[in-house]
Amino acid sequence: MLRLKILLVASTLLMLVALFMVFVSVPTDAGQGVIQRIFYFHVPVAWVAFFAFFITFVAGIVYLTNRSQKWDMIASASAEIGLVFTTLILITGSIWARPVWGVWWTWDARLTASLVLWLIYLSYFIIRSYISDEDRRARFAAVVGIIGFVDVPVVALSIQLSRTQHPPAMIFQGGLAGSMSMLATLLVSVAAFTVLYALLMEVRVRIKKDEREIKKLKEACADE
Amino acid sequence: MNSDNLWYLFAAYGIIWLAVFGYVVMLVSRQRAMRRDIDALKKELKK
Repeated sequence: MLRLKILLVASTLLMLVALFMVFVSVPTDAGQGVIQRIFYFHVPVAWVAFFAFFITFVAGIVYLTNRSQKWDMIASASAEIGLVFTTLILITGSIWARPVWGVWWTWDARLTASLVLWLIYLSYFIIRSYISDEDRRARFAAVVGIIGFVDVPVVALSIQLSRTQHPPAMIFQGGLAGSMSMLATLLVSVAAFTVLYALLMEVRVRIKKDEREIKKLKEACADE
Repeated sequence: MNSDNLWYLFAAYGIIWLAVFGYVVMLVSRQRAMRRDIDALKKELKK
C-alpha cells in the first residue's frame, strides 16, 4: 500500500510540473505555433505504450519458460495499459494532424503501423476472452504478445524506413537540443508518464491477484 | 488560425486527462468491488 501511495504522489507531482512546463515555461515553437505543445504529451504517451508492450513481450517469454501465472498477469496487465495508451497516441496524433496537415487521418507509414499495433493488441484481448482454460489462454496470449511486439520497432523506425509525412524524432536529430527548456519539458513529461505507468501496473496487477483469489474462494465454497 | 489551434491543443490534453482519469476510476472501482467479493466469500467460508 505504501508503494501505491508513493507512486500516486510522485506521478501527481511530476504531472503538475510537466503541465506547468508545457503551458507556462516552454517557448512556443516558431514553426508550428501552439499546436506543437501536443508533442510534449503525445511522445511520452507513445513511450509508455511501447514500454508496456515490451513488458508484455518479456513477461510472455518468461511465462513460456516457467509457466507461472504471475507472468501472465504481468503480461496482460501491461498489454491493457499499452492498448489504452496506443488509443491515446492515435487520438492525439489525429488532433495534431488536423490543423497541421489539414486531415484527421492519412494512410501514412507511421500512422498505419500505429493502427496495426492497436489492432494487434486488441486481438490479444479478443483471444483471451475466447479461451476459458487458464493455461491455454496464457500460452496463446504470450505468443500473440511476443509476435505482436515485432510491430513496435516497425512503428518506431517507420520514419526512417519509408517516406512519411510524420515529423522526425527531433530529439535524436538535434531539433530539440537547441532549446534546453523544450528538451527538459519532454523529459519531465516522459518521467511523469513512466511513473503513471508504474502506478497503473501496480493497481492492475493487484486486481488480477484479487480475481485469482476470488476464483479460489469460489472453488472452496463449491467444495463445501 | 491560432485560436483554432488552441482549441485543438486543449482538446488533445482534455482527452488524455479524461481517458487517464476514467481508466483510474474504473480500476479503483473494480478493485473495491473485488475486495467486497473477497470479504463476502471469506465470511461464507467461515459459516
